[in-house]
Amino acid sequence: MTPGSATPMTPMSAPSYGQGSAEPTVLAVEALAVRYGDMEVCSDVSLSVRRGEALALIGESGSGKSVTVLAVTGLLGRGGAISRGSVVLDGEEITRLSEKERRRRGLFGRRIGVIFQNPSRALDPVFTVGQQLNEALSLTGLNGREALRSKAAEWLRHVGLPDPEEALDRYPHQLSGGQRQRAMIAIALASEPELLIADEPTTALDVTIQAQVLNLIRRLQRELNLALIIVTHDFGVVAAMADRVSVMYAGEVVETGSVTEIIRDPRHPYTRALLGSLPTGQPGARIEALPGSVPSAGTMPTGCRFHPRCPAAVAECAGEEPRLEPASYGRVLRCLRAEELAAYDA
Amino acid sequence: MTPESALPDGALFSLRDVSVRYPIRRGFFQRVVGHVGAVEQVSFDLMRGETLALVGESGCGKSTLGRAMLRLEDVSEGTITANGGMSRREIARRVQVVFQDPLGSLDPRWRIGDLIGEGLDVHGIVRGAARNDRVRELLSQVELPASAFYKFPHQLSGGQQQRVAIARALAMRPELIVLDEATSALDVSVQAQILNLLKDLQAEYNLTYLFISHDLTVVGQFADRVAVMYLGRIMETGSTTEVLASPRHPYTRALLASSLKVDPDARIETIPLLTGDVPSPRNPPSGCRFRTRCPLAQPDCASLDHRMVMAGSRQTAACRANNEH
Ligand SMILES: Nc1ncnc2c1ncn2[C@@H]1O[C@H](COP(=O)(O)OP(=O)(O)OP(=O)(O)O)[C@@H](O)[C@H]1O
Ligand SMILES: Nc1ncnc2c1ncn2[C@@H]1O[C@H](COP(=O)(O)OP(=O)(O)OP(=O)(O)O)[C@@H](O)[C@H]1O
Ligand code: SF4
Ligand code: SF4
Ligand SMILES: [Mg+2]
Ligand SMILES: [Mg+2]
Repeated sequence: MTPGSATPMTPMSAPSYGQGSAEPTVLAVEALAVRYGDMEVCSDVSLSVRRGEALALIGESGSGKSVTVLAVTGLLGRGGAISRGSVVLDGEEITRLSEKERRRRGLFGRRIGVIFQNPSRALDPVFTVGQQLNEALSLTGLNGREALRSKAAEWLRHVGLPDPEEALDRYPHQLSGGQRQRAMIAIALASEPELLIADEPTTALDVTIQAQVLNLIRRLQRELNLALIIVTHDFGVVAAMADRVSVMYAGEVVETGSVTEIIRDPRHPYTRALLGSLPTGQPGARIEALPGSVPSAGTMPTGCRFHPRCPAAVAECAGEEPRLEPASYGRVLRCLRAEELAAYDA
Repeated sequence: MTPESALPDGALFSLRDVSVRYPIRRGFFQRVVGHVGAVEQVSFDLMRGETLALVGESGCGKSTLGRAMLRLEDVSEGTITANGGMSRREIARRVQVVFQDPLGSLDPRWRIGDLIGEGLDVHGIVRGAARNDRVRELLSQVELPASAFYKFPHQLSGGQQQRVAIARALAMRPELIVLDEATSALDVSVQAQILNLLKDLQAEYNLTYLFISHDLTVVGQFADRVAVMYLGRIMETGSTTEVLASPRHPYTRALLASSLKVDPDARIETIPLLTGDVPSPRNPPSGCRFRTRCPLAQPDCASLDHRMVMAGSRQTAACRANNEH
């Protein structure tokens, strides 16, 4: 696959790929649960992403976004395992493949590119940035010392690294945090994967570089017709990048919709509260803060996990667990009062 | 040190042409081979009771400037004058700081009560039962339960840890608190809680804040005035409303244009990008420091001397595109 060959560039104002899109589903996660030892840290995650589509995964810290990414890539690490549900890549069930089998099938690096939240996880400290870029580039079939080197430098320039030629010969520890993050983005993109998962790819970057890097990710995504999952807790990133959005709370997906639906017309009380706690930029105005914080695995509330913080909670919310299902108005959400709340608003 | 009478009316701090430089060391003997001008010729007054935001990209010198006001960094040139004197001991009490990473600044082996009481103990402000009462009062001021007194930092959430850091700062009854990305690592929900708390504390104690941030929306809501920095220099400063609503300097414009908005029509494709190489602070461009990335740069920007000019009630760095020479 080379840039530009897959599909013509879509016009900028292209409508988002909705559920009706003809593009094939690249990744489908169904009712996924993940445990670390006897702690269930994700309980019910369902999401899917099509070719050419960008899905944002948003939620507060500790809601299970990174664990979901690690489960999909098979990198949960010691003590971590998928305990329920399935992960399907291109129609192929990969839920229980060993790490070795994943490597054999070229899942990681070639077919799934990942930009990790923690750069030290992805960059190998004993190889230079250039060596690691070469490895990614050779997966695309590129070879020859000179060709590799100039392509590698071009990738570093794309992600806004100062002195790209010189940076090729540096080891990860010789770069600043933000520079490491950019090097990692370059490596993940250089192998031209079919699914790119970016976990908080720009949190350590300044706004000007952030815009540059996100623009690059989006452009490549369009050109290569990649499926993109972008994990973030920044609604600005969601608005700029996503076609669809899944909102996570306490290890579960609680609402899924198009980016316009989620931002302009959020239905789940949690999504509403999150958007309500954003600063508006109005001088001196108070922000409507959502009280409390995300519960952790050991102290999960009964019933609806959001009920202790939910402004719309009623008595039964503490007893009954809501399921993720489509409401009469088409939105997929997890709330016992989905119908009433919608009616109340209308 | 300049006499105190040099301070303008109502000012708590006054900075005049302040530069801070870090030595660059090389080789076995760690010889100094040059300097990084982290802050260059910065001047402003910090008024009592106001919030002044410091914005600009990573590495532009925001934290260094904050550290200089805390007297943790020596000033290479220029002067910092404080109402009430600048002795290290005085400043250590009157100016406090809250950092981005609360865990990094709280000793994990100490209990919350002792972390908050540390400054009181060191400065011998109150002792014994009165000290513990004061700590409990601080806990309630930052809206933490009294039970937090005997907990360790890792037993609290990120937002609660940041409340502890704020209580520690408040314990000294400071006049100025440097908030260095104090809410940047927090979720929007928790950030909102902390910003509201900071506003309440400011109203109650007439606190002055130096608010270092890269989130222009937060700055717009929280700060009275803003100073925009680029590579060690201030490029524009004025009231937040004026600067954010009608930015004048090309760098301020670029910064605002690059900020993402929570608006599904503001897609990434519509956001103008800066091109050009990101300069190294060790070797800044001559003339206007923004010229390697400025969309309006002209050849003679390379020979422009940095100076601030008035434009209405704000100040901007002289700029060729604004016909200033
Ligand atoms: N290796 C691990 N062992 C045990 N628990 C873990 C491990 N990794 C994550 N967890 C727990 O799983 C939950 C979800 O964590 P996760 O890192 O997925 O959150 P997140 O949504 O990515 O948050 P953030 O926005 O802070 O990155 C948390 O309660 C966390 O403490
Ligand atoms: N102790 C030090 N020794 C040498 N150089 C330093 C030191 N501390 C900071 N610098 C350099 O000084 C410049 C300003 O750094 P500073 O930490 O003030 O930036 P900042 O604006 O706070 O950035 P950020 O937004 O990333 O926190 C940078 O180029 C940095 O690399
Ligand atoms: S089920 Fe109840 S507590 Fe949960 S989100 Fe809906 S209204 Fe709120
Ligand atoms: S002086 Fe020149 S380079 Fe600097 S901001 Fe103005 S136009 Fe741009
Ligand atoms: Mg995470
Ligand atoms: Mg800093």
